[in-house]
Amino acid sequence: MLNPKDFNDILKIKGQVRGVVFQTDAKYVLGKKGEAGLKKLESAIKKIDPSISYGQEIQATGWYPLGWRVLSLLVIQDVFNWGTKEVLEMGSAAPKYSFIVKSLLRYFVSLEKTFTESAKYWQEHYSIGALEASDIDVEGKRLVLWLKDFKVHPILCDYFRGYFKTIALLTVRTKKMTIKETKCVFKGGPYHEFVIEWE
Amino acid sequence: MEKGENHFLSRQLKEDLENLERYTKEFSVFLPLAVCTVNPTGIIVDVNQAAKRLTGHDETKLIGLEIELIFTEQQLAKEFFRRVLKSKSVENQEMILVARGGKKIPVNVSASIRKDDQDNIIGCFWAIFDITEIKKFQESLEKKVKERTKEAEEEKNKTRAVLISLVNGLIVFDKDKKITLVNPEAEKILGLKEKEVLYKRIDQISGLANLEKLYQALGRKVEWTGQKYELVLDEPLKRFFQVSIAPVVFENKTAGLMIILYDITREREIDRMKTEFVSIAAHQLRTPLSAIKWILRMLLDGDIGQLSQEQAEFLEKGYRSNERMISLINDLLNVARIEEGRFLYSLTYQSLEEIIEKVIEGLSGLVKEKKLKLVFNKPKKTLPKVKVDKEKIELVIQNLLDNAIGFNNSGGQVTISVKCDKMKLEVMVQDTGVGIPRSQRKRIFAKFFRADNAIKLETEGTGLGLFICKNIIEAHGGKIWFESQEGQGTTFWFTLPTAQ
Repeated sequence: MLNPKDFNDILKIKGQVRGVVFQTDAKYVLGKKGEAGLKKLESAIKKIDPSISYGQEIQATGWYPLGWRVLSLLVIQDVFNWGTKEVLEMGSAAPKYSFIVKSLLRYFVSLEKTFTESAKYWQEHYSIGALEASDIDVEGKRLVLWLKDFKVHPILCDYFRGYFKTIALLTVRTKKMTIKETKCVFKGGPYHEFVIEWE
Repeated sequence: MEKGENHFLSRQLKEDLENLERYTKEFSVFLPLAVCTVNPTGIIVDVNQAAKRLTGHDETKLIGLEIELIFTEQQLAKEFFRRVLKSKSVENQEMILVARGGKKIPVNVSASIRKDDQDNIIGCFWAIFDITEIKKFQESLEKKVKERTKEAEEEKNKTRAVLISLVNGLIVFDKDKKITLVNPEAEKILGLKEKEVLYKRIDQISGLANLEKLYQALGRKVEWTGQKYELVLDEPLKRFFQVSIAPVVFENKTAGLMIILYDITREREIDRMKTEFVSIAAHQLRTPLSAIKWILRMLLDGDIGQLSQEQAEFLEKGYRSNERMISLINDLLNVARIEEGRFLYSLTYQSLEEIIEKVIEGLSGLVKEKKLKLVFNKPKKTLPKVKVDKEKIELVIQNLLDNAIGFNNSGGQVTISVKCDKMKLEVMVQDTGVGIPRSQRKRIFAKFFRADNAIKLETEGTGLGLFICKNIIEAHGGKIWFESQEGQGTTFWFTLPTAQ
């Protein structure tokens, strides 16, 4: 259960995010829970902050408070009683719904190119933090990503695990791929480190 | 670059991106054709609305999937993908798409590669077109074709069965005049087997005597002339056939010809027996009739004693009736001889003028009695003599003049004239009588035929005269014909060849 006391702290999180994330959340919920599910979510989130919306008024390329993004995920998790697994799946689905991601993937055709460009790509989505591909080893079938200066909320760690894995899967042909968060700022790490490996 | 300018560009870029997104979204919704954007490794990176509808899956299922996984024949899809990457043009391939729930949809995939501004391959578009309806239509069309073929085959078999069971002999030819069917009756008549002659032209076949005779009877050609031919076969028994050729018409087009062999042996035999009977009967009747004739003649001439006026008139009537009977018997005998082929001619050179004059002389009493004018227009030049059977030509002129007088009106005229050219003599017999009704003209030379108006006139006649005339003239190599105007008279012509 969400604690209303935390809401103010969450809404105070610094930084901004593109409106596309709310659209992908809405599409995912719509796909999983239908119209009724989406209405339930909208109603729940409006109770916390009436200005948060999943409708037409949110523009994909518009900048919105990063706190909204965290709140959206937390409310979804709460309303539908979802756990880590479902949040990870949401992250996995997000690039498939995102117009910006699909537009980029039409041109960044290789793993190297995609993740070399990841810094720019990150900045297209978030106003704080920096994403860096610290190691791209195609032959060794291993990729290491560092997300620096981004201490926002642990729920995003699960979400990003799904998200980065899907981006990698869209560029590499493999039957099996794994992703692990090997370092995390919420566990004393200097940054978030995600290690992706495939067969 | 100034900060304000940077901000402006960023805003502009954002607006452009939003516009592009809107455009892409609208286009994706509008486009009825399923399109998948595939990267160079063969992974689907985007799909449009139609692709989602067609597959029954949303983006989460489709994006990230190897493209071949949505088809039944994955190897074929992989090969197609490789072909597309190598090709500069749009490639096409029919495949079976596996939609949600395992539903299989026949599709046609058109794919072309995509390149960036540096000519690097960045993937390809797969446009997937549902061809279920086309396939259904194709299948129904194939089914219909099969059904129609079956129907046509059945129809052909039925027709063949009918033709085979025909009691008449039948040979069917295609438009190239090759034999396509010989029914069992024709096999029996011609003493051959269908397989020996099938798909051959009749002139390419040898060693089949009866077939050769048939070809001979047709004048060594297989053509539709509307004419009837006669075929006489001696082996194994003497048999007679009437042969006709008819076109085989299919959908208003001539598809070939067929020869029909109609066995007339039985009719011939009946005719022969009838003729034989008539001949015997006539011979048997003529002897007593001749005796009666001479007895009556002697009585009328007063050889037995003087007769009273009344007795003489009765006997005269009897004599004339007997004469008519003898004339009828003679006609019947002539017909019998014609039909038996025994109408033999003793051909000698004769003057046609003399023959005509002799006949006219014999008819003078009758002409006078009917108050007619008989005119003989003799030619100015002397006519050449013609080789004829004198007795028979006399009979022809006698018959024609008898008709011209008999069917004439009292006070009318009969004209006979002769003209000549290098090849033939032409005799014309013209009367001013009742004429021949138009509807009956075709039958005028038929045996025992008498026109309706002739019967009404109660004139004497057997209906055999013109039949005999025609046979005599044609046996001499000549022709006979007529023209008639009902109520105004008839003109007969006949020719006899001079160069013999």
